[in-house]
Order: sequence, then structure tokens, then C-alpha cells
Amino acid sequence: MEERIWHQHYDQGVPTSLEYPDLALGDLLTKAVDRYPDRPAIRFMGSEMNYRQLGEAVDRFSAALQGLGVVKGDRVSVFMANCPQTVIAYEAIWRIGGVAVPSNPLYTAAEFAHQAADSGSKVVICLSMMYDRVLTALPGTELEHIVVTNIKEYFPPILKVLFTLVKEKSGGHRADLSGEPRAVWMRDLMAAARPGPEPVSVRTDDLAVLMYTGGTTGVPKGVELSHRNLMANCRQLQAVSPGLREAEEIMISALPLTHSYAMTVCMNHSIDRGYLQVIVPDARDIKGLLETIHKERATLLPGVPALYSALGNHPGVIAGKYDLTSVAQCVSGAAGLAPEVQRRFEELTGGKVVEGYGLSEASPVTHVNPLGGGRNGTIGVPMPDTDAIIVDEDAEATLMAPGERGVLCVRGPQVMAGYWNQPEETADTLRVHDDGHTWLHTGDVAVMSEDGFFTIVDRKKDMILAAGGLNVYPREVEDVLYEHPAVREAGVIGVPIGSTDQRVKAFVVVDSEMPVEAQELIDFCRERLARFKVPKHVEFLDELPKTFVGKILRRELAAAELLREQQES
Amino acid sequence: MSSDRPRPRFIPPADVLPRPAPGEEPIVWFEMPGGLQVGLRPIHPDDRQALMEGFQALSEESRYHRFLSPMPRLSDRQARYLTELDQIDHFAWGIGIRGDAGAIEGIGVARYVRDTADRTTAEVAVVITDPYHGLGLGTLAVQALAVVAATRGIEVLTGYLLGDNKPMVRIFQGMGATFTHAGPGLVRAEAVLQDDAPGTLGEEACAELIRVAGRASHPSAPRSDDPDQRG
Repeated sequence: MEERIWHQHYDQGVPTSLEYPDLALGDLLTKAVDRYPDRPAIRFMGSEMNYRQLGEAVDRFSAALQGLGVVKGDRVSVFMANCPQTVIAYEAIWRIGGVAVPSNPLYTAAEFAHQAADSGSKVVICLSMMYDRVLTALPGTELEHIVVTNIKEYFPPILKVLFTLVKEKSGGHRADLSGEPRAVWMRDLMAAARPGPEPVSVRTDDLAVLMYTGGTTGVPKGVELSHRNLMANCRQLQAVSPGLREAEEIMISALPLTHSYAMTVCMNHSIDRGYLQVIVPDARDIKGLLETIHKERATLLPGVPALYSALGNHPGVIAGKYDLTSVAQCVSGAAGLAPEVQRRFEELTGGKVVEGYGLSEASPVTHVNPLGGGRNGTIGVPMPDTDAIIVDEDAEATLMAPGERGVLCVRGPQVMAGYWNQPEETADTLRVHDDGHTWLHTGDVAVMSEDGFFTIVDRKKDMILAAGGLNVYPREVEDVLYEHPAVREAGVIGVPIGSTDQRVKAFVVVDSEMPVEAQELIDFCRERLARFKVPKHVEFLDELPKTFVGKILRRELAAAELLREQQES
Repeated sequence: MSSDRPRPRFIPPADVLPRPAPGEEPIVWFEMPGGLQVGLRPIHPDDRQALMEGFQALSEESRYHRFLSPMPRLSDRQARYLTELDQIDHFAWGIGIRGDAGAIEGIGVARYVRDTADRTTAEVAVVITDPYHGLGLGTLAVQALAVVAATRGIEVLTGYLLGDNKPMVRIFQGMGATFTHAGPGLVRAEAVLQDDAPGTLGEEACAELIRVAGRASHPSAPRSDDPDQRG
């Protein structure tokens, strides 16, 4: 690409432009199997699978999916927590030209139903603990088959027995598929399947993933990511970390693989380079994660600020119980990385923690700090082949000078084709500028320094950053509150906790003739929203702050909340 | 507000067909570039029911743009606030079309409410029902509103707009507005009313708008449909 001001900051050996081979995502795995058949590919709760075994499982499962009638272009929902079956599911879908539709494992039946219905998914692959939610969601979707797997399938034998005895029932992992002709166990399906699929020609421009994300106003849209988009992002990531050793690194996959970040940065990146992926089922189990890093001698730990903060502040770490010095590189995304968190984690590991930036519409990574000369508080510089500009916040049409704030726009091989069945939203987000190029308007407000470092200063999207880097759109929560018969008005905001995260708080006006307790509204939300979206607090008001013409201003709620907190402290 | 787009054509009262019945509430008619005829008249308390029904007919998106909230119902209190206007500090044009049976059917509302702290400033809100988006009705409504506002000593019109509400952003841009950030996804537009405002609609249309708006604010001008006022 043409020279850009930020290229001067690239680490030595990092090219400004790359060659992208004509490979689909399935080819990346095939290549890894050919080159490193005996290298470990996945480790999970102590059990291990090498690349040959992973390849065989994927071959068999893709044949099984073909047996269910999945053909090229069909959408297949992946409603899974992190486990080996998640990797097998994605790879099998891609192998036969299917389109994976990931759903966050915390989603309720209603949230899953929306994504399954909107995408027109034909098959869902889910964990047994999601089975009830899938059944509830079935009406209104086009789902023809439910492929169910128990998280214990790939546990080592002893752990599997213990899990069956102790945790399976209480944890909601037991599912009874009898009486539902559409449901089948993944294990049975694979046992009965041919060893490999009928060959399908998958081109790099074919659609690989529909990744659902909220828009400016929180209505979820399916981001269309092609094989080329996702493969390119892997290669860009590799290019900015020239020191990583092929087939040597040990990656921790703790962030949800149903999110674009972990899908690319942890899973696809690992498979492309023959790394070992250590899959962590629940990143909130900080002690378990620390033990895993310590035991596995993990070298790569992609995360979010809240995770690094929780790891760094764990009593066991403070007491020196865990050796984290194997960790060489951490890319932090999703929210601003506080300097003290970064410093603390770098001290603990001796490795590098760099802040990056991305969004699902860009597969997702567009910016990252150079390992050699990063700048704290910034998202770094655009990756190879990635161009970025800042345009004015109003019409998003005028180029802003360095130092001036505006909307960040990016373009590059990782940028999506559009939103699924949403031509208007697509046209609004992917815009052709006067320079003749199509730019992705990120909706984030940023500033570029004179020498090409970018800093996010605000979001155009109204979004709450819940713990763990998960996004909550106030509108989604308000929609649910308004479903309650007593609620007349509702406003939802994020109240800051610590330096980066926010907790969800709702302000409501209720019908004076229908008294309701805060807890009842919280419970009401809990039944309808994923846990991280449920308000932690509900406050009752006589009226919400409004403008003269009656527009509800959440910012006034947030300002009042901040003022009150300051007064109380 | 200079624009090369075709403008709505004012229909002088003498040319309005069918002719209004004697004593009927005056309506200011325009013909849009596509041929649709729309009428503007001040909103009054009798419009409460129609306003509530109109609210229900809006798409979620339109409702969200109007109230910055996904509220599914308009409360009685809100509906009263939006229809019981003093016609000076709080004024609204109801926008209607002639339905099949000849009755006027409401398709939008444009209002201003004067700022209590700064009496030369008023906030604007416009809502048009979804089937009539993209026809230029929002622009017409804001212009008609600006004409009335100017006669009431209002010099600046403001609006809280979601960034993705492109039509309203463009309308304010057309008035030379400045925009300031007003929270995530939200901008506050501020447009100083220009002296040449009548030029865009035509002097004749402005005079008629001012006359009809003034009539609504004048208590001695009875409305034929108000039983308490009827002779």
C-alpha cells in the first residue's frame, strides 16, 4: 500500500503490505494437519488432541453435517461455550462451505432466537446446557436439526466420570433429547458418519461467518465475513508479531470463541500457525485460568483489560503462587487499557501487553500498538494493508486534520462485505468516499496524532462496556423493561466501575397504580436477557429527564448518577 | 436552505379543492414534488387521540428517533403535554393528507418548544409516519415551523438528533446548523434562523402559515369543531 505516516512506527521486519494466498479457512487447517500432524492442536482440561486428530474429527463432523443436508451457503448456528467441539464445529462448517453463525453462550432463548431466525440457520450446534434455550427458541426459526454435545465429551476420562457424578446435573449439562426428532447427539452423528465429506469447492470470497453485532441503536445485525476477510486478519496479526515461532507458541483461548476477537486472534491464528491452543471453558474462573497459564507455560494470552486486571490482582498472584513468566505477548482489546493494569501485567509476566482495536465488521482487528514502541492510552497504528482516516462527526464526510476528533473510518482486506439482508445499514456503514474507496465507518470517535497514532476518545454508538469486554446496548435493556406492564418510562446507563468497565443501571418510571419492586424488574430482565445485560440496580423516578420536546436524555441520568456518587464519596 | 431539489408548491387557499366548508378549520396546503398534497394546521387538544394512534403507527426506528427511547406507548401525561399547547411558546404543525373518504389523515407532527432559560431559542422535533419518509415532508415541516417561530421572537432552533438520523441531520445542515456532541450517538444541532427564510417557501405561503398559526394562538378565533365554542 501507499506510504502512510504511521508506517515509521512499525517494528523492524513488519511489512506495510502482505501477499494473501488464495486460501479458505478450511485450507488453513488442512495445511496445519499436513505440516504438523503430531503437534498438539488443542488442550482442554488436561486432555489433548493433535492436529491429525483434530483434522479427522473435522472431516467426520463435516461429513455428518452434509448428512443432515447442509450444503454450501447454508447457515449453521454455533451456540457454544469454549471447548474443542466449538473448534470442530467451525472448521467442519467451513470445510463444506457453510456459514457459521456464532451466538454468545450467555444468550437467552429470545436472543438466540433472533439470531437463528434472522440468519435463517438450518442447523444449530449447541452444548447440552443450551438445549432448553434452543427448544424454546425453535418456533419462528427455520432450524431443522439440533446437534447437541456435552461439554464433558473431550474431558480426560477421570474428570469425565467426576463431572458426570458431581456437576453434570446441577450445572444444567444434562439434556434429554427423546421426544424431539430434530435433536441428535454430536457424538452419535460423528460415529455414524463417513470419515470425510464430499468435496466442496470453497472460494476465498465465499461467506464464512455471520457475526451478530449491535448497531448504533442496538438492533443486532449480521456482519458478513468472508473466508478472505478472516484469513487476511490472521495474516495481518502474524505480520505485526514477527517474533512468534511457528508451531511453538502456546495460545490461551479464554475469551468466547463465539466472538470475532477470539475467533480470529485465538482460534484461526493458532490453526494457521500450528500453535497449541489451550481452551479455557470459563474465563471468569480466574484461579482456574491462572493454574492453566502456570501449568501449560502459555506464551500468548489475548484478553481484555478486565481480565488482565483480575489476573494481576488475584491473591494467588500477589502471593507469588503462579509463575506467569512464560507469557510473552498479550493483545488487549474491547476497552481502553489502563496504564497501571498494563504495567502490572508486564511486570508479572515479563512479556508485552499491547492495546489494539477492532470491531466485528473488520474481522475484527484494525489497529495495534507496535511491540517495540507502543504508546499507552492509544490503540496504536493501523495494521499492514489497513488504511485509516478521521472524518467529521456530523456528516462523516470531511477529512479531519491530525489532532482533531472525528469518526474513525478504516479500509483493508479484513473489512466485511456488508450486513446480512440490511442494504440500508450497509450503505450507511460502508460508504464510498470522494477518493473512490469504500470506507468502513466505525462509529467510534478518535483522534490521530501528528505522527499517526490513534486514540479512541468516544463512541458514537450508545453502548455500555460490561465486565469482560462485553457490549450492552441500553436500548436492548430498555426494550425489555418496557415489556413489563408497570413500566411507563425506562432509561438505562452504564455506571463506571474501576477504570474501564461499567455496570448496568436502570431508571424507571412506573405506573402509580401498579407498584413493583426493583428486584421484580431485575428478575424480569434476567428471564429475557443474557446475564451481563441485566441491570444490577434499578432506581425509581417520578419522571425521566427529558428535553423540551420530550426526548429522553440518558446522558442526564448518567451525569446525575456521577454527581451523586461524587457527593457520597 | 438553498437546495437544488424541487420544492413544494404552495397552493393558495382560493385554489384548494375540494373547497373547505364554511367555518372549517383553515389548513395550509402544499403540493410536494411527487404530486402528493399535504396540509398543515396547528395541533390542538382535540388531537390527543389521533396523536396517540399516530404514535402506535410509527416504526420502532421512527419512535426511537423521536423520543430517543424505545417506549412502546405514549402515556396520557405525555399525550396531553404534546397536544395542550399555548401556541406561542409551544407550537406544533400537524401534517395531514386527504384520505380516500375525503377526511384528513394525520401523517406527521413538527413542533417547537421555547427554551425556558433562553427565550430566543426553541427546540424542534419532527416525526413523519414511515410510509411518507423521503418525500421532503420533514424539510417542509421545519421550514413552516421556522416561519412561525421567527414571528414569536425565536432566533435559534435546536434539535437533539441521533447520528444515524440522516434525514434530520441533513435538514439541519441545510439551515447552516452547527453540531455539538451530546452523548453517545447523539448530537445537538443549533441553527440560527436566517432572514431570508421566507424565500424558500415563498412569501405568499409564509403569510398564510403565519395567519393560520396566529389564528390558533388567538383565543377569540373559535374553532367550528369545538362544541364549547360553537354558537
